[in-house]
Amino acid sequence: MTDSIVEILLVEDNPNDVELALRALQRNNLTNQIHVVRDGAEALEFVFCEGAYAHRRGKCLNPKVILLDLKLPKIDGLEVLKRIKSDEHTRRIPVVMMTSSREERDIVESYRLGVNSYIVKPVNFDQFTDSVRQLGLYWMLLNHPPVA
Amino acid sequence: MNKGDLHNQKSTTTPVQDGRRLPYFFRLTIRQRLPLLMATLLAGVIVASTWASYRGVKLSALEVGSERLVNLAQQLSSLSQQNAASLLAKTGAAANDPALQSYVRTPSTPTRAAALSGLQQFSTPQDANSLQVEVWRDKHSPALVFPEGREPESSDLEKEFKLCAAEPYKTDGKMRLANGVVVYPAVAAVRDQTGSVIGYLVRWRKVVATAEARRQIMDLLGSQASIYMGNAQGDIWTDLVKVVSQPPTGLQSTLQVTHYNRDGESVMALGRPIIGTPWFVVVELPDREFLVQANRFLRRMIVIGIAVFAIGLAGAFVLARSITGPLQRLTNAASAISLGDYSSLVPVGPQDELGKLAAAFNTMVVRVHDSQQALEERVRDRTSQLQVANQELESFSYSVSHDLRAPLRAIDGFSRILEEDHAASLSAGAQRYLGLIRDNAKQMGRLVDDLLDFSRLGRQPLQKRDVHPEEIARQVLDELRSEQEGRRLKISIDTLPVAQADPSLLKQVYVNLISNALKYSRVRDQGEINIGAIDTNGSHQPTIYFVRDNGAGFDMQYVDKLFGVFQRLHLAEEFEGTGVGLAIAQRIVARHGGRIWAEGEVDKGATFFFTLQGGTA
Repeated sequence: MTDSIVEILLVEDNPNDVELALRALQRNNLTNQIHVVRDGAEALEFVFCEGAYAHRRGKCLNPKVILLDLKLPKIDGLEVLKRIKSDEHTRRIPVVMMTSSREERDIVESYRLGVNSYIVKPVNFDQFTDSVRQLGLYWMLLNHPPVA
Repeated sequence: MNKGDLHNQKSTTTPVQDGRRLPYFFRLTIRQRLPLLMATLLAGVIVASTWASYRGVKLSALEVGSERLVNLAQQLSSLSQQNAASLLAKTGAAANDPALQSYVRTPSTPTRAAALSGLQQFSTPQDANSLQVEVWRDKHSPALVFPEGREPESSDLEKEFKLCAAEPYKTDGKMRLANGVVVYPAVAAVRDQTGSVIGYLVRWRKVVATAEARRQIMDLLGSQASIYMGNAQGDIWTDLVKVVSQPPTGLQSTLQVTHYNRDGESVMALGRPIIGTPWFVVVELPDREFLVQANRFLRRMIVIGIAVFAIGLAGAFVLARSITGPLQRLTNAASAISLGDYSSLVPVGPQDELGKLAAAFNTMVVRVHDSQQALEERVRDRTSQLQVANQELESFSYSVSHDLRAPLRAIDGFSRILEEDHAASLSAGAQRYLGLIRDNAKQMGRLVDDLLDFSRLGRQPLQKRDVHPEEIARQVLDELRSEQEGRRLKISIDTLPVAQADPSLLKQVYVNLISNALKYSRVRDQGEINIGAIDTNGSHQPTIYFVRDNGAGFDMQYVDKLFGVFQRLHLAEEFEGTGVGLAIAQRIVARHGGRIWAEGEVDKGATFFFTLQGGTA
């Protein structure tokens, strides 16, 4: 799977949330090109084709969108965002914060670092499914990224 | 509170300075007032003492002068008396010269020649004052005038002849004027052997002092003195050189030292009769001769006075400076302290009152500074403690926000998946339980969100400005449109005064109160909501705003529970909600320095009041 073209990178440590997110994406027919990583360090390795993902080097293609949780083991979401947005090759990847936090400072800091969207994950699963659907629809189908 | 806040609390009271009503003197500074007062006092004392002592010296000088005058007049009088007596004795002796007697008895050329030679002693070279000598045989005309060829001087010698008719047969006559010269006759009777008067010898003499005589008189009297001689009856006066026209009056009768002005000069004079003659002598001395000492004394006093005045004034300046200098330093130090500079202690100086004040001031500064520092330290400690507590609270609510919702989302999500994927294998009862699980998860989600809102309120900084509550209430009603659909509602908004508030927080208050009013008035066929304010008549009291409804109301005995977090007075089945809305409203109003309270009655409705400070507009 890692060798195929990854369209969505999901960065989420909570297995329940991973499952729910995958189901929501599946319901909207967006499951094929999803790659899940469980912490910030792995996310960076994937994006920069390092460590466990060093073999991707050479055919390392940027995902169409990164769904990033804020609270992550090892390296937190804001740091991941900062690293992605400060690198010449990765800064054009759309990053969507998908988090439980409604804290103003998290929102402000994310936008300061160049996040493309900030989504608060609702408790209500139906609403969550709807959010994911709209998100996928927008970033996968409607949005036209610059040609790399 | 930071350091600056503690330091910059300047006194707002201004000292009463009503300069217009105070006299000029009290509007001056102490540094000006003290020398001025000193100068006035010194000048007064110096002038008064100088004048008094000068007066005393002057009076005693004049007394000395009077005594001298008495002496001089006495001496002059007796001198004149002796002189006149000796002259008259000579005249008497000449009158009884045998040659003159024989000529008077039997006038003939030989006897006349003999008589004339006897009279040679009275001729001008021997007697410088001699005018002429006459020999009278009877009382009508002189028989002989010497020097020869002269006219007789005066025929009116009746009185003198009469006086010569008896002992001592000679007399000095009163003064007369002869060709502008004051003269007098010395008359002696010529008698025969039997002693009967047969004629008279008359010597006319000028009352003029020779240069030599004047010098002697000046030696005696001093150069400033004037002498006047004249008849006791006061008709003719001479200063021994010429006739003087203005005789001093009254001197003959008083015989006392008299003061008067002559030619604008203050003089003292004393008259004395010359015994044995009809004459009178007056000595006149100018006061200034005696006042020389007094005037010198006065000049010395003035010089000393000016010196004392100058020294006193300089002393007063130094004294004033020594008082105001330390005061000025104290003032400067106090001003510096009021601006927060505690480094400026004042020099203590000598151990006088000001020195003690300065020492006390320094002690006070140190104390105030110490307690200020202790206070600031305490404030810093408390602030950092508060910051730590705040940070803990923040990270706590952050964790709550993030971590409490994830399991809820999982509960809801997997329940939903169960419903979707396994609906066929679930009984109706199982499906109902799944629905309840999901409802509770969602309710828990709302509670978490409300709790987070509530805790966030305490941390968010207030951004107060003038706001129009009326507009905010309209906006809120507009946003709550969905809750009004399909209902009969009568909503009125009064004109509301401008308030000082954070607009987003005030809006939250209205959202909570109006949504409550909408919710609880559902029980009425026609819900009525009134949004208004109680006019405080432009006083400085805060404005009271209220939201009133005719809904379910509440029992006043539970009024205290209304504003507690998660406190509810109704069942969840009747009215939905988490019980946080009023707690949030109360917290917002409290943060604005206002008060919130409620009045209600079961099934009649409720009114919620809150106060806010009026706007500046």
